[in-house]
Amino acid sequence: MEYELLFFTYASNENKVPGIKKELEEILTNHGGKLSGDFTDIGKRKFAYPIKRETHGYYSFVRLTLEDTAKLPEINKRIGLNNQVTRHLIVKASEVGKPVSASGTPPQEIMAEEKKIEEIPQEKASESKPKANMDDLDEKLNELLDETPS
Amino acid sequence: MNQQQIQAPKKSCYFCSNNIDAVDYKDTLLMRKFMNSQAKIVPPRRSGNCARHQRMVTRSIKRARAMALLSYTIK
Repeated sequence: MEYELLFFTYASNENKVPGIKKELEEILTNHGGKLSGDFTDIGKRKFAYPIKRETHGYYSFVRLTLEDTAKLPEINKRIGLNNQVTRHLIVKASEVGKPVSASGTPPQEIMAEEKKIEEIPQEKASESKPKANMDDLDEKLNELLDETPS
Repeated sequence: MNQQQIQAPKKSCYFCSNNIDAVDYKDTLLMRKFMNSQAKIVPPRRSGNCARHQRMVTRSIKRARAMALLSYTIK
């Protein structure tokens, strides 16, 4: 079964990330897991809510194959005991969709694509709005200019 | 009084019409579409999602919340 493991640490621990990755890899391989490719870094990101007063975290994820599903609770426990890893999540890869990582496109680009999709309608809206605003402003200015000369 | 209910045109499921078969919990911008301004999950009667895809969306939103990718509440 293929899984995806995501973890993050506080951004203040950013320089310890390579070490954390190594430890995680050790835990996974010791329990019969096989990493498919390297860790993909999402990078530094702002938390949606502060965690213990920290506001930023460093995110990274990896795909792995694990034949013995019964070892998952033990793996979860072992990763949870690692103090450097703030939080982690292991999910079935089939629930996440096509692999974003490995050699493919980095996650930032996928998020950027989504942004583009969202931006297009916004741009249209913003294009039409300023025009309307400009017309309104012109009218108002004319009114003001008509009123004020005396 | 005979009040006639005006039927709104039925919305189609975003994921069915776009042939998306999995919802990535890391894709916060996509999930934002299915949350309201208070960061609550929008019910399928408003989003138009089919039951299967609504389950996927809720599951990935909850995962993203636990990973601090999405917030639980916006005041």
